[in-house]
Amino acid sequence: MTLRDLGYRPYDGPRLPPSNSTWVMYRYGLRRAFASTGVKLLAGLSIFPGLIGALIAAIAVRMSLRDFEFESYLSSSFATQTWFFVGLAALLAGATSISEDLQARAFPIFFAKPLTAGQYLVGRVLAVATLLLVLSLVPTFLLVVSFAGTAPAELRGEAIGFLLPVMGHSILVASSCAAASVALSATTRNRAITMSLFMVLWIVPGVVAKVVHLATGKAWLDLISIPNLLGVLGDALLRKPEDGALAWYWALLAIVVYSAGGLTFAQFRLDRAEVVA
Amino acid sequence: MSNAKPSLRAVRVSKSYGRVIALLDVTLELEPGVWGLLGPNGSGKSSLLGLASGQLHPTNGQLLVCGESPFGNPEVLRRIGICPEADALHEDLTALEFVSAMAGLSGMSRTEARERAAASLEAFGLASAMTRRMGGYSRGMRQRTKLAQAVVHDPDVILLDEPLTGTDPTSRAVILEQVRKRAADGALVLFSTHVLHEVEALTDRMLLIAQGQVVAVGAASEIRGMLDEQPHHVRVDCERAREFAAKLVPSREIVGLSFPTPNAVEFLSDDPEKTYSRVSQELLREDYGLRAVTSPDATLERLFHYLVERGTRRAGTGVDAGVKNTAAVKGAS
Repeated sequence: MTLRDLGYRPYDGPRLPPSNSTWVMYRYGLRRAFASTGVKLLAGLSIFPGLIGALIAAIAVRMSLRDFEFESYLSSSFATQTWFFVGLAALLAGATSISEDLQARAFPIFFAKPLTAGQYLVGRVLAVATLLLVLSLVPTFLLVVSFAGTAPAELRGEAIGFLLPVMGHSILVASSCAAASVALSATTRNRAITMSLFMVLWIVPGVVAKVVHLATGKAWLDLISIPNLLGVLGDALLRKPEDGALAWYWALLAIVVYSAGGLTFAQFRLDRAEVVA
Repeated sequence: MSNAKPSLRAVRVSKSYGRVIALLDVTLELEPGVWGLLGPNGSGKSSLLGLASGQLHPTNGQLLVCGESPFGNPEVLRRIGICPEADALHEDLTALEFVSAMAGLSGMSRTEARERAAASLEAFGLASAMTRRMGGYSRGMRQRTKLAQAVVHDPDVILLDEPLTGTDPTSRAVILEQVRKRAADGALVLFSTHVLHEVEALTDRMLLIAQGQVVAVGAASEIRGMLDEQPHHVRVDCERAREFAAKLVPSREIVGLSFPTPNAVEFLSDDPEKTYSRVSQELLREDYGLRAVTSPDATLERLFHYLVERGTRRAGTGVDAGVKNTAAVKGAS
């Protein structure tokens, strides 16, 4: 390598307002999320259950199987998709987002720019939410459209009618899971801990709530599990909820409280994070 | 945006973290050019850079960059570029993506940010590597990437925290050249290090900080002079250390003596040149099983200790409180 004088060129062009920093962090967060091989693989694989599901649904309808209800099938498929693919993506991209920056001690670089902790947080959450939206919406959208394309004519209209609730529920799933996972990533600089914490909170309360539900018939313990709460809301949007299930408004309230609480906690942690090693 | 010329001014600035005092009553004024910020680890260098880059708020006093407080002030922050000591890079991203994002945070449009990022990386010799993931970069390449992001938006005040750590001679040359160029174009560069010769290659203007206080300001030659001014230790590691010491002790310039190990003797000398001469003469005259002749004083740490001790001593007697505190640094060159 040789030294080259490329000439100093002072920048005197226009500067975008400081509010633009949120979008810069959003794009940066998206790049970081999709740069991971695991996430790329997950995004690719997530499409298949939707397509296979559509095929199974079409066959079931064509064969006039008794008891086949597309809405129940769609709701269960969505719940599984959320639990596995969205959960895994939130783990890989969300639960590591802030802890990685803390571990790499990257804050001195970010916060020496015109960037506030709030903008940083919003940018990072939106980026993770976009990734999760892709993972929850695309496969389910494919399932609905494929089913509509292959189902008998009388069922097509009904199938297409699910698109809007599916979109609404996907946004709810993506935003709440992104807020929860990014908030957890702010707990400590050790990303192994934040990932473990997310896994435990994603799986254990849900299992406990299910066991209690089966044993006692009481569903109130679903309030402690985000996947279960999202399942309740999914059922409310896509099909008739089961008897004894938690009311959708309690589930929605709990999701809002968790998301807002998580973001407030993350903001608090960012405000307190000392940037000097 | 403020058009005030690049400057850094601290008026009785203190910074503490709970009960730990990182900076105490620092007053200084720096003008454009390169300034070496020298101090041992934990002396408060990073805290001073954190305050100057608007990431920390002073506990007491006032710190102004280009005439305004940088804390939460986007207009001032756009005029600052910082290269922190920590690695701070994301392995999965390319240098171009990273530096473009940092340019974007400084207010450039996406196209402009990408162009400027490419130019900045090229200036630091990363033209062929900028589209590769940073996970595969060497330490020197990572350091140059951090520097490229620090200057991508043409800052007026450039804060560099140990920028040469772990770099190879080629990287060093590229980095020093770029720093010189920016300073020649009117920027104020504060170059933090604990290695004196690193900063001597760049500037003659030094700022010495120890235990949170600016203990000396001046030219590198003056600092070298201070190294000679303090009582000097000469250590001789040899098999017959006591016999060797007995031969040298009658010398007038030797004012102290100790045996750190059974096979080593350490002389405290008023006239190091004379002592070195006598040590070599004696070693040539007789075989003492010599292993090494070293001087524990030729480090900045010793100088800092000396300056702090001297400052405390003089402040106590009222002779020279100015050394203990700080400094009129304006135009120290």
